Amino acid sequence: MTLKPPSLRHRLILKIMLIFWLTTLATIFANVYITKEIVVTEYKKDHLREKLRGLSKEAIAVYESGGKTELRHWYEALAEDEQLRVILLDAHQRPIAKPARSKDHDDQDDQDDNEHHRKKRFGFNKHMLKFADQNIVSASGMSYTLRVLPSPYLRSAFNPETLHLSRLSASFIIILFGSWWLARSVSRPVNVLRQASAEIAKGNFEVRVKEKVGNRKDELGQLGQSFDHMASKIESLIGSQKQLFRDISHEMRTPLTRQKIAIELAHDPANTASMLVKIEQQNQVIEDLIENLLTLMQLEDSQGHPMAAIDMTEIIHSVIDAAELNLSAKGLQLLEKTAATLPVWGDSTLLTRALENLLINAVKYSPEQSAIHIEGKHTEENVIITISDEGPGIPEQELANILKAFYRADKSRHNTTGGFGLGLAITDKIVRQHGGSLAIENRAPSGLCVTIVLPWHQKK
Amino acid sequence: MKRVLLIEDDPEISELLCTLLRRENFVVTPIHDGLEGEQAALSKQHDVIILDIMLPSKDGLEVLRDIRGKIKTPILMLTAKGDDLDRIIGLEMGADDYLPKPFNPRELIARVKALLRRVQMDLADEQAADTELSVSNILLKTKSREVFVDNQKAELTSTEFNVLRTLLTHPNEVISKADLTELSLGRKLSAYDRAIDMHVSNLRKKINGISVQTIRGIGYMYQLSDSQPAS
Repeated sequence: MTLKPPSLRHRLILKIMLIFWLTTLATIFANVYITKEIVVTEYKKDHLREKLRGLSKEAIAVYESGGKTELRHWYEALAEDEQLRVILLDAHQRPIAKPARSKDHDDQDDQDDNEHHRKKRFGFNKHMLKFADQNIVSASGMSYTLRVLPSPYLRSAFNPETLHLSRLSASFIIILFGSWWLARSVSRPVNVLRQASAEIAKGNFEVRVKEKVGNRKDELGQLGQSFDHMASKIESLIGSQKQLFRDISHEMRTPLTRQKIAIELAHDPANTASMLVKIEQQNQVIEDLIENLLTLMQLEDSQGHPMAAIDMTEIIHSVIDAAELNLSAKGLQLLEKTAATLPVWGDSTLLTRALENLLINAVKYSPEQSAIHIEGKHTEENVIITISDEGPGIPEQELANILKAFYRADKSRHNTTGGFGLGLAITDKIVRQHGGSLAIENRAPSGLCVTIVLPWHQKK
Repeated sequence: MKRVLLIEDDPEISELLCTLLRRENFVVTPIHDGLEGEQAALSKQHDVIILDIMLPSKDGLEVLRDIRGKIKTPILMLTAKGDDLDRIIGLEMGADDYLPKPFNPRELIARVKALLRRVQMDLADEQAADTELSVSNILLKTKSREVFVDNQKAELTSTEFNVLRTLLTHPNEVISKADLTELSLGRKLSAYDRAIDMHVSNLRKKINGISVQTIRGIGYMYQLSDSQPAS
């Protein structure tokens, strides 16, 4: 399985860069914004001070010229126009005239400097409000203080020192979150993979990481996919290897059992000669089995076969010649129709073996006096060879399994036909190694037809 | 002359076994097919049945399952070494003994003879005076070879009956696997032989709450209630 590198949008490097960039950007924006707030507040404060200075002069003038009544009117006008409530205090910090109660400040009354109230209503304390006090000495030499009463307006102008603190903590929080996000997005899948690898090392090949990292589209997600692919490949390889070993030991048992009984019977002098023949036969069976297994194993290494331009027509003829004896023993008729030349690129020993196996099978399952057909032709791209017999064929539901090693359509391994079910598996492997394919189908009314397709070799 | 029914699909092995068994003066009926084998077994013409697992038309285990309830003929299963599953299933379904392939032919003969001896013992039981063995809530009737647990009849195979009887006649006594095999199956314990374990396991399944203790590395013991294991 080859995976395309993820699109640029999903690259891990882009992801990391983006997280860094976003974190930095967010920190800068937060800083700029909060700094701006600080500056604006400072400005508002200055502006308010300026304004209050003017107002205090105005209040003293009103008081000194018009007395308390005028001052009250002035308070009211100010509250109306500017949403600002103030009170004028004399030299002993006593209020000169109290402002009328406003609807929304009904509990304000004369306890204006009652800290508790102020704090409770607006979150100010005395110290905070002090900046707004305006101490003025009037032209007549009297000393006054203009105090601003808590109001929403004042609050907006008020500068809590926490703004400076929030600037720091905002940076802190943003960077913390960004780093955490970055670390987590990299370390989590790596951790999952690490644990899964440890499981594999322990021999648990069923472990998969898809659910945990599979929906990521970056390199780590792909690493997860590759990991799963590897795990399932190992699992199936080990499984088939185990199956093969089981099959081998199973296959060895029958000839060994026969041999053991024959040896026991050979102790009897009357039986010795006939039993020795049987023992030798079983030795041959075991030898053939091992031979076939070795071939199968060698085929697993796909490298190292001498490839050359060869003619399948020649190979077909040599295979038919070799089978002559077996054919005549069963009275079989071989009908051959092969093109003059069928060039392919391959290993002649292996391809001979592949065809031989098919012909041996056909002979084995053919009823006596029947015919076997061999046909060799080619298209523009392929060489096609078919071998068909008039035997019983293979049950349809078994066709899919027939290429597996040790598989025999007859479950009980009826050994009257001999063989181990390795022939077709070997042929299939050889054909596939030559870039070809093998197809098996039943013929009507009965019989089996095996088709080999190999790539046609163009002479240069 | 004892009659052996040999159900084995490999013609070569079957032929060799026939020769071997006939040399031991058995009368052998070889059959290569599961269904035919089942019919032959049900004809009750045989003293012992040798049954292979891999069979055409009907699997050996299926044959075993279908004939076990109907006949009491001892059955020796031929299995493949390493096929633990086959082995365990075979015994759970009531095979009296098993032999993994490739087996030693002398061992096969010995086991067949052991099974026949046991049948003889069973027959002797039936002819002997009826004795009853009652331990805890279990009642054993040796003549009819019946077992009652709390007055409920328990369906045991002949081998399981023998194992139970051996255990009950020696309550609170540890019986080694070798002794139990010899006393119950009538043969010697061989290497990697787990037949007796399977029979005990079947007993535990069939008789709920039976107090058979496994003494690891030694054997088994039937423990009477309110008593301590004898050491």
